[in-house]
Amino acid sequence: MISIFGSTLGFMSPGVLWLFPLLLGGLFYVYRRKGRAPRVAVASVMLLRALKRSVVARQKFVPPLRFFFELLLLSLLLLAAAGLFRKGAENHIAILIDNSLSMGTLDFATRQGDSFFKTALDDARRTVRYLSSSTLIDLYVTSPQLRRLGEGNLGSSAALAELDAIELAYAADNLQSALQTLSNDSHYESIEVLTDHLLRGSSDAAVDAQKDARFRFPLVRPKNKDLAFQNVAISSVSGRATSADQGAGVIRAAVSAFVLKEADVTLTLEGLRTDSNGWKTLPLDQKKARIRGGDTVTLQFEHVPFSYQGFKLRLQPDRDAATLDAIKEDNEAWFALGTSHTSLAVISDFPPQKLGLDKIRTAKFRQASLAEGAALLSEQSNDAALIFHRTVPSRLPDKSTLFILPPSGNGLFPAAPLVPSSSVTRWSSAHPIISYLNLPGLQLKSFSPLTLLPWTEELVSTTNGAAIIAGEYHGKRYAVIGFELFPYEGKNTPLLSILTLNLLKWLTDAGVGGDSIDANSVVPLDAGVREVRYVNGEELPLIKRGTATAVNVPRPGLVQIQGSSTDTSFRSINFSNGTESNSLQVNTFMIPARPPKAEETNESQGLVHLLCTGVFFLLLADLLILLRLVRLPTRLTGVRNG
Amino acid sequence: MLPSSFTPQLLSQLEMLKVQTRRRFLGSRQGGHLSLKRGHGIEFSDFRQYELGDNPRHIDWAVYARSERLYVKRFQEEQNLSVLVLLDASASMFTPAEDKKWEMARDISLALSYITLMEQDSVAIAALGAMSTPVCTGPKAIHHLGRSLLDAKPREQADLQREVQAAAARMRFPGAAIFISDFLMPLDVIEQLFRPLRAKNLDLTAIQVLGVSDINPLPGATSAVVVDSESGEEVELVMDEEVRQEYGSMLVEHNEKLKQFLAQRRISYALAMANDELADIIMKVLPSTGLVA
Repeated sequence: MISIFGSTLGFMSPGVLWLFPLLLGGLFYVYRRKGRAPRVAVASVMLLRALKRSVVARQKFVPPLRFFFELLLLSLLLLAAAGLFRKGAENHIAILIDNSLSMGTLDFATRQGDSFFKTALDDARRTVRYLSSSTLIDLYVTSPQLRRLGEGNLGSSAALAELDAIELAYAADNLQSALQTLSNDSHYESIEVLTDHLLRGSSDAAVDAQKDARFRFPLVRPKNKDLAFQNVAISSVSGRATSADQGAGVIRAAVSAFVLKEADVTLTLEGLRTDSNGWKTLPLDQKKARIRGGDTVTLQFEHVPFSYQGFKLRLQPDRDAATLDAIKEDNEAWFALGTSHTSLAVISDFPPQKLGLDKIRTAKFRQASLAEGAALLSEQSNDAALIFHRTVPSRLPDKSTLFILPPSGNGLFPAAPLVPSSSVTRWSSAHPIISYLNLPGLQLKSFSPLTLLPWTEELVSTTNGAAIIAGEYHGKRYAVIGFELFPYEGKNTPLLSILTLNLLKWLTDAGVGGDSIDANSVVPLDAGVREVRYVNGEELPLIKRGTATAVNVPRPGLVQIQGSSTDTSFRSINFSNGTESNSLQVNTFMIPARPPKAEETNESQGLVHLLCTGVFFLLLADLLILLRLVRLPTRLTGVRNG
Repeated sequence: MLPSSFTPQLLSQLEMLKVQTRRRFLGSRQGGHLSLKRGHGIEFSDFRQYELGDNPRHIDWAVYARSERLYVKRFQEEQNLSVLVLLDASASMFTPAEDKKWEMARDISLALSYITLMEQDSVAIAALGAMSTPVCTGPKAIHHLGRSLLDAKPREQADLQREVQAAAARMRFPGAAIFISDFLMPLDVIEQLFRPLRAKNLDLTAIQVLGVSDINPLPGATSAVVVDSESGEEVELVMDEEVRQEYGSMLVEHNEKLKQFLAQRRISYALAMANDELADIIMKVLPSTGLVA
């Protein structure tokens, strides 16, 4: 491609242009021969040779105007044959930067510890700086999804500014799909791809011939097969309260070693707490482990005080960190107990505080009433589950529901009138609701025996009947307690408290111990949320989706979700991807097939017509000259030509 | 068969002419030319006393009247003349074709041959580089000579000197040799060509035939690569006015030298232009050399 007067010209068959030197040489030869003095036979050169001035008749060759005329004509024909076409107003290139987590691999072997990502950005900057000022640049990143940066086509300075703002994403890449998308855009003359994936070769010459030749792949990851990039990573984190008052619990972390042999690692647990002076991070515990290459081990921290708003886990190799830990971004994980979206509606004459439910920090309870009507019972409501305390609705809700001491004679769960104390005779210990319960210790002063329904099972039986039944119906879970469960008093009533927590956990299927949100996901927020920020202070913009609100969490960390002045919850954001963390594995890609050049053909046709029209008029002029209707100067000097 | 230039008018003019020589030659039979023999010719030689048996018609009565003695006249014996016409048929005589040098040279040789044959003399034509004829006599032989010359085609590699030698060798009796050529060759070559003829003690005449291109080469051209028609030698030239004048001077100089050369060797010289009329050449140019009268 060549740039002339702001237009970019290209050739469909550039190989034809190699004929031009041949053309020029041939025309030159013809005219030089024509320019030679004619050969004339004479009787004898005896006297002629003796002439004193037998000057060489062939003077310096000065081509006549006709030479240039014919050269122009033949040049136009050659350009038409080469398929000259005009591209868009300017050159248009794309630069795709792989910003997935694996690009955070540090290369101490060949690049003094620079990451692949830094290498890629440096290379992109170099490319941008060497481009002409008229070149249009489109910058793309691969993660979390293929995205073009900036507004419209970028110039050099805008592209450099965008490059400075690119960050490593806590996400995987879909490189092959991204390549195909860019390949399908025929506007790009060149597509530069900066990735740690390596190009997969092909042994099929026919396939190679079809590849899109616009792609360029500057080397980001060293091709040396003996070079191994090893890494250790936290691959998952979870936890749950183990005490009835949720005051303590366990936190588990899975650690993977993508190493050749083995790695000794230390996992540190830190608690995060905020006070009037801000956030404090306090080391709580450490675990060490020796992990064989390719294995994943789970380390568990016991008796973790859950008085902290959140927890942070840090992983590091005990030695050879530069060799064994190529990616630092996967060495941290977060954990928080808060489940801000686990909200339950309590339909009771008493507010949740009266029922002691405010002591349960892993869920939020709102007081609701049957007056809310069908919306309360609808599956679409924001409540994770319903609690009917001493009341029942007119129909079975379309949501998981806990019925506590339903009135006798209700139409949903028939319950007998209250009976005096009963002893527990049987229980289903395998059921999650019953886990961790010492039921023989359960003394029921009064309860309402329940009637089983066909889809329910008896979890706790007493001498007077079923005390607890539960079951699933149309995908929803329902539990019925035939005795008073509330008020929730935590460790003061450990059995009931644990039963309550088990019930809530079973109904909401939520990690009462806290669940983690994936980085780069959009998190729906409860109504009334005013602010979401990372504990380091970074505020995240709220996203409006109709009447709902959400927030995008781009990176791991602990986020604080602020509702009303007292309504604060914390969520942990994590990213874990074995493919991205496995720096030993070299991912490959293939160059997409060449797309059709429909637009170029259209443009080239336009120029071919122009060239042919030019040739036509030149030939017409040549005819007029031949017929001597138009005279051109035939000589520039006294040399007679032909 | 004669070329078209031989009109009946020309032929009648030619019949009035006679090839002459500067010397007397011994012929093979009685012809129209004075020979060295004395006898019954018609040319008065001197007196002698009457002897019994002499023809009384030869008695010179004017001398008797003066001397009262009887004397008879003695006459030279008239013999036939052998004429050899050597015609340069090399490539130079045919180049350029439009000059028609060869045609003129051919016509001159046929005209001389006709004159010779009409005088009961014998003639042989040697087209050097092409063909040669036997010795011919009688007026009718002209047609044979004409046909032979019309069919003559130059050979590429002709050794003119050898052919001159061969032609001279066929001359059994001394006579006249006429060499027709453009003589655009070095004098030493010309000497080589005439040497066999001079050795035969022939009465030599050189007729130089030049074409328009020999006088004014490359008319209208400003430059050219001239190629020698016989050797193929190439000379690149720029032909401006000055060069043309220089060439003209060189040609004149060459011809002067040629004339001197020939004169020194008692060879008559005549210059004929190929674009002149044949009749003018025969009737006006050649008589000035004494070749015809």
